[in-house]
Amino acid sequence: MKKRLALWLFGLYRPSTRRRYRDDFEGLIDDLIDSGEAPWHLCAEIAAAGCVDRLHGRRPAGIVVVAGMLVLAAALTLTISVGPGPRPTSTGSSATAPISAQFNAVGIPVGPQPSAASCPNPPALSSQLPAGAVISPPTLTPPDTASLTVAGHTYDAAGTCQYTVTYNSP
Amino acid sequence: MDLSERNVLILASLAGGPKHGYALVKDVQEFAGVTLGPGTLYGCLAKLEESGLIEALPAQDRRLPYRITVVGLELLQERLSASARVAEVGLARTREALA
Repeated sequence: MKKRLALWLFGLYRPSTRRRYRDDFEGLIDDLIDSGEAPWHLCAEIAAAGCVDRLHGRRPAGIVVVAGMLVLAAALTLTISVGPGPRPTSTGSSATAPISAQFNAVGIPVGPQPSAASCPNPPALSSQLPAGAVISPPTLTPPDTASLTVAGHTYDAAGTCQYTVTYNSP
Repeated sequence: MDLSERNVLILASLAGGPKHGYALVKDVQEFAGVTLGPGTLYGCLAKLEESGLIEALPAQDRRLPYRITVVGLELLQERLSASARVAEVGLARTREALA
């Protein structure tokens, strides 16, 4: 890993974090490079962590950067997975399941959204819904119900677009 | 504050004495077998410092040593005690189930 690239990626952090820790961060990168413990994949790790730090800043401009960089980080590491959502539940004559369990939604904005109005309604789907199935309007994922793992780090998917498919019994 | 596993590792490391970034990474690697990347480390340090659980000491050759605060120690003790209770019950039950 090149020190210059690591420092550039550190620019993804909130300004307050950069001001506070830049020298210290540079010192750590020097130590890691000197000891031969700075593989290239650390760049993706820094990028992903910087995006998460931005999210904590709750700045709209930052969120736009985060959405793009999470995709970049995922592409860099080639390891991305979606954590389990709530298990399907049965209520009366219908059962509900999270959309991610059965279908891939296409073109959904990445990362937390300011409101459900930012989510496409209805979303484009990778495959057709079975007869009788109904897709709900979008809601925002509540905290601690879904997670995204990028480069070995798990992030709460709170605030991302969520849809529910209801299967009505014949 | 809800402590993530990584934050617990950092606090547990600092409970043994103040450390700068590289020393922290090596210590956690040694006692927990977990390698904290620089990105993760500074994200955690920022949150822990904002929450008053750790504090930075004066810089030494650009590197900031970090120290756990009393609040941090109390929260760490609380969290580890809860984990120990879960581990105790879980281990007892697995022993019974395997017997």
